[in-house]
Amino acid sequence: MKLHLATRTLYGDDGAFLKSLYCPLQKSWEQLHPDGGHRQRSCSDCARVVHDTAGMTDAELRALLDQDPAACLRITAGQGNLTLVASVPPSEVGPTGPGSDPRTAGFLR
Amino acid sequence: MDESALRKEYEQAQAELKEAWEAVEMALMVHSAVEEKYAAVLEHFKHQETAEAQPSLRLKLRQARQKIDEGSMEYAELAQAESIAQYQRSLENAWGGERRKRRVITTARTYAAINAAAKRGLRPLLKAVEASEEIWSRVMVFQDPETGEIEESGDFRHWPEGKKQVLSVEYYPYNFPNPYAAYLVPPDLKPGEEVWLADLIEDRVGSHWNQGPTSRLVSCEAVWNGEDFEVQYDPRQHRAEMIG
Repeated sequence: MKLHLATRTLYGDDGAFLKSLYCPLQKSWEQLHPDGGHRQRSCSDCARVVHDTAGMTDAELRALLDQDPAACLRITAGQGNLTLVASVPPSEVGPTGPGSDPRTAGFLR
Repeated sequence: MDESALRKEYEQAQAELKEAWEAVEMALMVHSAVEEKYAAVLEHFKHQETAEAQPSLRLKLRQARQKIDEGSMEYAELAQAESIAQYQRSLENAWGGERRKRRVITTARTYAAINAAAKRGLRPLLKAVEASEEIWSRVMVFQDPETGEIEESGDFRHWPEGKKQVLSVEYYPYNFPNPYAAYLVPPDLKPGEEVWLADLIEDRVGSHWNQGPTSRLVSCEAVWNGEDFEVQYDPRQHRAEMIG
């Protein structure tokens, strides 16, 4: 999976959008309740389960988000299945070239 | 309200907010395009002083100016869309305990949005938008020596095979529409009241990654002291972790 750090947006290795990460409570993993095993914890403030993505494949993560697009995730800098990207994948940008819509060409969708 | 209803309300508000901002972004793009046209007409006008050309160019100029005004109005209306107000209400209601009592303070980042808020009775608290040197990102660009095609990576662990690194740039990864922005302060806010700044104007490090890059803190608690917001920023929350 790929993370665009500035926008906190997560993509698959194929560049497909997975999720924008946002927690208004700014929780850390240590503040969550370890009642769901080592790969997930629960948040006592909003009663949501937070899934650790460190051991997940893109396919597993996509399946999770297909079931619950708002599923909460944990991502850490050092996890081996993550690379940082500097610009958003082409799938997130409006098409350019002949016949493209000049209002959206090259801009974020 | 039970948990599932709260969650549904919050998710619906998030979707509405996203939709509203997409519309705002579109209006901004239209506005920018018209501004470019206006500048081009103005430039052309400077070099055309013949009596025949002037009436037609003046008309074009007036039309372009009118479109800018229309774009500005559309932007201001969208920036203050009802869906944003709904989002605020939902956010305030959705979180239990102490957070239920905490009001959400929004930020206006354009001239039009600030004035629209002032007309609605909110007091804009102006701040300079200043990039912190602590916040930066990196991109490395690799090029195929044969085809010239490029590939990029922001991660030292990802080095494309067969391609040569031609560039490594560290940069400030955010863009804002203006060098100023304003917190929109409700007139009845009392000194000492705790609030939630939904879109922080000040640059604070929100996350710090092991290879060095950092990202901005998006939102933060704050206390209104009667003149300004005291951001309740806890540097211990710098971490190489994202939850969301």
